[in-house]
Amino acid sequence: MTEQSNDHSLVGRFNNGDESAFNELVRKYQQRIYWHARRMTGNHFDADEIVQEVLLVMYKKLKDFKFRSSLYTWIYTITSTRSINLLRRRSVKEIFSLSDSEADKAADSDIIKNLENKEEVKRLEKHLQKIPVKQREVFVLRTIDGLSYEEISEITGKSVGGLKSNYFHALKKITAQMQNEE
Amino acid sequence: MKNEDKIRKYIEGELSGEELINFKKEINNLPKLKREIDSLRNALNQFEKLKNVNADENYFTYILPHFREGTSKQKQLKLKPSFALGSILLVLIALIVFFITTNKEEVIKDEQITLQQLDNEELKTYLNNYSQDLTTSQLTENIPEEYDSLFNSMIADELSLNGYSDEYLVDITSNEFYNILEELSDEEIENIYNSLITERF
Repeated sequence: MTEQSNDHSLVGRFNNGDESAFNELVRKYQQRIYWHARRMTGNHFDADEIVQEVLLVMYKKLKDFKFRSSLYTWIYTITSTRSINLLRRRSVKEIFSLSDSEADKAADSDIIKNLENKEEVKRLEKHLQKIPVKQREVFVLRTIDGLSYEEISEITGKSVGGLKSNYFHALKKITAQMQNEE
Repeated sequence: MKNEDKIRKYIEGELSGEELINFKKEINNLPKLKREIDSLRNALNQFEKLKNVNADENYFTYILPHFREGTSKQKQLKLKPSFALGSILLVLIALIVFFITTNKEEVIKDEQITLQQLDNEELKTYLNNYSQDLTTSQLTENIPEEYDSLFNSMIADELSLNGYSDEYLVDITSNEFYNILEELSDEEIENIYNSLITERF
């Protein structure tokens, strides 16, 4: 069974009232949701919040999903949108000095296992956080999630040509930041 | 094709055939271009580390139960707004009823002002407004002596109005008038009062 047909089956079962089908979908996509949210927001605390929000949207809206795109494209769209919304809220709070103290407290709570790994991940996440959100989105989806420009175009609603340009600018900025680091 | 686009295509492996051969020659001939491409590739390679991060799997086993817990709490929360609204309405209704009933008591209290507290003018006004509700016993029993002259005047006036004044007119300050009053029985007095109240008010 292909991934697409498996997703079809699970969504169909869930829409017919089978809650265990939704649980299977969660287990299948939760890591992708979490890591994409983590790369967009830059920390575990926000990524955890996004995961719960995305699952709630999926739970409520799966009945309306018509498979015009693949399920994982749809899930990525929700994750990206929620992440960008959270980043906007965060920047407004920062302007008015209403920073999220919970996120600050939770800075040490992380799921990355060894210390060396954690430091390296944090370093790279910092570089991602320094580039504009729209560039970050396409860079993460292309470089780390390995999606094609056509798939990214479905997720973001942007043209392939625009995405390629955004991607290259993001790469140049990150490269310059890393060179300044050295 | 712009150089930036060529660089991106080269890095992402989209160049092929003659285009690829020509660009490789260009890179070899231009050290600055080579350094730029090497830096870009180096940065990209570092992000490969983010593809397979060694993370605590226990976190992912907790995601689904946390979600299920959240959805069941949301269902409970849906009841709370309607409960709160209902409570507020009940309190408002109770306040309105309380307000109305306390005002009514004040109205009743007004009616219970003793006649001792009224002067002649006030008593006349009071009798005008409330005599329909009051029994004659209330009118007669509660009248103190100092108000006796008022009722005597009322009786005298009544006699005048009946057109019998020529025959029955008496000086209300004279003893003869009080003698007439003393000869009347309680029943007759009560009937006079009732007729006075009925005709006058």
